[in-house]
Amino acid sequence: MTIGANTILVLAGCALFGAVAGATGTFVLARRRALVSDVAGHAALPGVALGFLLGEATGLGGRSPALLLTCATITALLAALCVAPLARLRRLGDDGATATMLAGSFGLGAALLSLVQSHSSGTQGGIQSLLLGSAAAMRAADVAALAVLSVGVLVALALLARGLALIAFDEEHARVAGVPVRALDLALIILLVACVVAGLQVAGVVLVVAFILTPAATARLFAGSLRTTAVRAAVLGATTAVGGVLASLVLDTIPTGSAMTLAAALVFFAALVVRRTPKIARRGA
Amino acid sequence: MVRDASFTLEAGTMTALVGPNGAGKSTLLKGILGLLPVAPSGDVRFFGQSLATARARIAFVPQRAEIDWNFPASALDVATMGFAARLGVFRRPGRAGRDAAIRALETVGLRPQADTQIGELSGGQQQRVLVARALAADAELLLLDEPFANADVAASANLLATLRTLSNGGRTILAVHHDLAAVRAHFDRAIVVAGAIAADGRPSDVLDPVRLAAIYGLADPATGAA
Repeated sequence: MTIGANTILVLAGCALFGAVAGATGTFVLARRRALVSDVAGHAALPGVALGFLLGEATGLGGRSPALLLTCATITALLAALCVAPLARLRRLGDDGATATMLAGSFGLGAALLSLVQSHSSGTQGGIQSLLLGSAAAMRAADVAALAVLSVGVLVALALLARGLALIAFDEEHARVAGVPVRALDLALIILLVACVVAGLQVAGVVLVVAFILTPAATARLFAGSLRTTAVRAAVLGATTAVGGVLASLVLDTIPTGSAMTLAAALVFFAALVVRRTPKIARRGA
Repeated sequence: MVRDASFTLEAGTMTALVGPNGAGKSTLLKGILGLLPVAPSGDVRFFGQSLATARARIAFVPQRAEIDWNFPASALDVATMGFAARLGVFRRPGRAGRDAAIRALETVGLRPQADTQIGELSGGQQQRVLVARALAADAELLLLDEPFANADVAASANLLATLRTLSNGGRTILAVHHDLAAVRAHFDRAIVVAGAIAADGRPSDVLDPVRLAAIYGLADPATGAA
């Protein structure tokens, strides 16, 4: 492996994504929406496949990143937004609704993907890298798109952090105080989806979720406020992203998403061993 | 479901909502705060105003069991949230928020635990942190859902003393409570809920054994009142 200008650019982009993913994940975990990010990640798959087919049909080409990511954003957002109403509507409960949306959208994605594969076998490079992630395949334009999305999410998070902390800790108290709970929840889901889409090329459709949640989970092992936890998760996310990307560049055959996720998981288990955690609080008594 | 519930609270008093399990005490409390999917039919006024107008003067203190105590926050962080919630999403609580939170922790006797992670507090301390959060918001009316649930004797006495200090200072307390003896001994008023308001008045009058037996026996499962 040679470290050229492009590699450095990609590494910088991945570090930025890792930081934003970690910070976002902290708020997602605190609000107990971890599985909604799973829905968003899986629901990006039908979007990617749809974008590919649309690109082929319209002559734009199946590998247009703008089209792939736009379609992924739409399907991921739709699925993520459906979870809460579905849980309420039919008394499915959160886990039932989440599982249904997750499985449904992934099934749709798999079906569309087989359609893609039967149609055009020679031009799947782009779609393959979106499944498991491929930092090596990223070009300057991809890194730029990732950077813009990441910075946007980071700024929004910084602005909304206080309100998100209020609703995550105690929704009812926040509602009585007049905090706009629904608007904040919607904002969190939008930020989450932006994060998923930003990370698609780096980590891939399914594993991007692991990368949003694992650094955040690691940061939660240590005491501190939500703010310090988010900063910690951002630092962890950035370092493990860089570590993972480097590993996948060196060991050519391992997809970036897998390498990053493994790196994040290793750090989590290492932290479990060395943590100086507060005692786990009992819920209730 | 609670019907025909009508009452007015006097400022600076401690009122207990009592009644059999499932009688609708918490439902009533949450209902008047707009926390239930179905809005209450009828008129709820706080200080003569609607909830939307009077929010800043009211604080809800949930059951301790409804909070995730592994949430990353110190006692001071939680108390500061009371102040912050009043400011809205974008304004920083800053120095004033911190000062208000510290004063609130002092009032509930948790100043030494300000920097302690909430998961490491005892159950009684956790309950008092939630009261401190209401005080940091300078709430004049505190609505507490089962603040004495699972509290041992010492924790109960401690919390009761805190609430009495607050009501003597002019704040109004409405708390869902299970322990009738404690209500009789420490509260100014008891409202007995059993699907509707079954009795309302001074605890010594309302909570006499004969009357209570009738009320608790009357609860009818068919109407959802028990």
